[in-house]
Amino acid sequence: MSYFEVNGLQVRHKTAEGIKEVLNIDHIAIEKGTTYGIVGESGQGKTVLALTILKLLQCPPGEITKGSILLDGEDILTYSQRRMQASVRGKKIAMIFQDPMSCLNPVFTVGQMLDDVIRTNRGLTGKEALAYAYKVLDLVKLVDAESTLKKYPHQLSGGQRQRIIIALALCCGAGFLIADEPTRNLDVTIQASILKLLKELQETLGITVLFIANNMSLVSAFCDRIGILHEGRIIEEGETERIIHAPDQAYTRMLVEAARLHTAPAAEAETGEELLRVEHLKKYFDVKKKNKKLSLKAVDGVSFTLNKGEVLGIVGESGCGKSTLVNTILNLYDPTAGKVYFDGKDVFSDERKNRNAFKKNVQIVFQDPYWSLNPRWLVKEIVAEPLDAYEKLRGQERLARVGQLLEMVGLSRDDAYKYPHEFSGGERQRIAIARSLASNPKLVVLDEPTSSIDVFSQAQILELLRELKEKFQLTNILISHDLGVVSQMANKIAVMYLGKIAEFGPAAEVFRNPQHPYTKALFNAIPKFEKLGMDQLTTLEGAIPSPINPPSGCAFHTRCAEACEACKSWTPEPVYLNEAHYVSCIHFTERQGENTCGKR
Amino acid sequence: MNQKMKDILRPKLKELRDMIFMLRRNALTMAAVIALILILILALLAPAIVPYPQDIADKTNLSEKFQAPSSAHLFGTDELGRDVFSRVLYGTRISLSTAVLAVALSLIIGVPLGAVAGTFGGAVDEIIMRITDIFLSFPPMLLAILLVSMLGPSLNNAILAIALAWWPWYTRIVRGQAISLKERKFIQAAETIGTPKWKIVAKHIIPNTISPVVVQASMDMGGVILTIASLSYLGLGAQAPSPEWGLMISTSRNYFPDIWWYSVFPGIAIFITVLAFNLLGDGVREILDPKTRKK
Repeated sequence: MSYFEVNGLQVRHKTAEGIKEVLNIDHIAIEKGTTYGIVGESGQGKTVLALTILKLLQCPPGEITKGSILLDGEDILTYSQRRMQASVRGKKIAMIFQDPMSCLNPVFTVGQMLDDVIRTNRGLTGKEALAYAYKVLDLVKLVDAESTLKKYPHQLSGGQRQRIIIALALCCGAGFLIADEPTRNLDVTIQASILKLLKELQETLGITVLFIANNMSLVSAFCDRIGILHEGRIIEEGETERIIHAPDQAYTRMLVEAARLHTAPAAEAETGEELLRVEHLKKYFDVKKKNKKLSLKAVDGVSFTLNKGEVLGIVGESGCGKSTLVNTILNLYDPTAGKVYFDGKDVFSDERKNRNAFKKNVQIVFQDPYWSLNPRWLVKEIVAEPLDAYEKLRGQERLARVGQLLEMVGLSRDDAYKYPHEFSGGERQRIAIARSLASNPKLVVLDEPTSSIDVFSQAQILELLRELKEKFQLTNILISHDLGVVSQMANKIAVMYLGKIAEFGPAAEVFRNPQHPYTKALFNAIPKFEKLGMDQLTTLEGAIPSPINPPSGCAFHTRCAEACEACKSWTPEPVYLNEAHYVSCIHFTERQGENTCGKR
Repeated sequence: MNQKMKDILRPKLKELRDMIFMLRRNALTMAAVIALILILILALLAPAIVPYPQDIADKTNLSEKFQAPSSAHLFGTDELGRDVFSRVLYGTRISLSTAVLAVALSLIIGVPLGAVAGTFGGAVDEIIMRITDIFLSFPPMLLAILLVSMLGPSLNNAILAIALAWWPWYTRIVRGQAISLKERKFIQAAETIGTPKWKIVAKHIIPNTISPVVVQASMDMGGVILTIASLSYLGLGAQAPSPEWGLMISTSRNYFPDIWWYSVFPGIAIFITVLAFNLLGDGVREILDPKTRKK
């Protein structure tokens, strides 16, 4: 008898289209003090499982038709709601929800929230409760507990909020923790630190954890056993190591493959002459704070060149200025300073001809295909939008071109008469890609092209993008927070931090041997399959500083593991390691004998 | 080609089916829809079905004046011996068509202005919205009265006045929508594609603001009918011998309460029509607003 068991659980959903089976789980068993990972894409029933365990599933439309959930030998599925509330939820089973942004009530301070939970679950009040709160905050490693207690959720960063949520879950002293994608929407660096924290707590407090995730990489590092959830069924289950190295099912193999970091990056493309040159590009936004006019330096002096046929991957944590950089290059924002040359012509010049040529030749594919297609247009109108702007095709000719474009991205001609909502996420992204190619552009910007579609379509979309790139000799700029995606496509990498490029170089070199401390931290925050366990992960503490008031000197010194005194005052210039590879870090300047710094 | 037509129609049919499904779950809205369909049929068929077509104009038959409701004259007769039933029925035509015209006219003025203000922002927005504010600072009824008295009393001028008093509401709604739509990626995509600005407004922004505008318009229909009736009552709208409801009540008040049927039946007609439109407006909002939509 295991500590926690699910036997023959069946959950159905009643919808307008009839009864749908959402969960059909034969058996899951979790031993006390171990970690178990459930992996599956969205819509496969992961969250339904978590809610069913806590008996929080909305019934109707949900309906638990049969099965049992045993916790310590007792079937909690037979408990009444009142009993669940009084003796199970919080007391024995706690849950960490997936969205730290929306699951904290914005009108309460952290202190009030903790106090409430401590009072109901521990029966402590006043000073005792406060002392307990300090203890818990200490457990989740929130520095400066005193001021944190007085803060409202919006004053905290994503990572801090997730720590608060973990603290709230711990307050109750539950022995079983359900973590439903606890690091979703967090940057890889923060993700790593949250995972490390969870692992540490799990080990020191001896908690049993059911970890739910949508990709393999996190689970592989965190869990002892893994179950793959597909269409409501556990299709494969076993030791983490076995699942990763010898998966039985094709679906599991695909999940593993998708999470693998390709350290042998995309083949060196044959590159032609210079296509895009960005020189000292700056984009400041004016912000008003307490009547003071401040400028937010979203992009602060970025320069690079891109040759025909190259794929530039831009990586960095959210808020580092990736998207602003691209939007400024695309002329969606007016630049504060700097120049952009495309095919040798100044893009920001007032000459209409230059601008129009640039717009025709540069297209973008956005992250979220749900918002990037006009919901009231037929696909045929959407794809033909660039045609209408440049080619003025009519009737049959226009339709034929649309059909051709749709077939090129793997859709059928008849899809032209459908609306966007009739397609899946992957298919919509194909429509967006077809649109971006309609004007025969030379440069296509891919802004997180796969991050809001599921793993299966993700692989196909990447394949399609590679194919199209070959076929039309496109040049790409790829923005992504997912280094796996970047490693599959890019042959040049720019690592951005607070509006500046920290490291720029050939993808193969950067991936194999990252130089800048930030690049290293970023890469090491991603679990790799070669090594299991959490020790491989290094964390980058703290959130990215505000670009309104960036740290002096090297902006990264506040979080850098290799920072020294000089970093606080000395702004590093790019140092070329070779012709194509540069790093902006004092330690490399020092090697050339220009500066002295205690470390290294 | 046939297949293509089917492909185009299929999603529309599904939408229609969904809408009917939503309607059927809401009895009040359903009742309003049925009532409005009946009113519409009556209005369309009025010239053919009214028992005394010649009573619509100023035919007089003083020998039959002020007859109480009877089988010959369901709603009685008025001071000139005209059949009130025929006139009330015919009045449906006037009220519906003038209300539709007035709302359509204010949409034509209000929607593009709002879309332009919201999309362009800056000085354009500032100018358009301040003008809107000026119009909004008068009660619409008062503004309409003012405008009609300037333009001279007639039904056409009343329609124009109502449209001029009503458009700012649509401008406001559409502007708000446009501002949030502007941030949507498909607008940004259109900008990178190089689609001209006017086309973005006309083809991306305006079609996506339809839902809230339709809701507001269907809720306004009742109000507009009421306003037209009020203007006519004050002698600023329809002129005699038009069988406009407001005008009929206005004339009838000299004979009230002895000749009660002369006032009561046009009043009931106004009441039913306005109520039906208001219920429809609520229902449409419920159908179009995704928040109230349940799966």
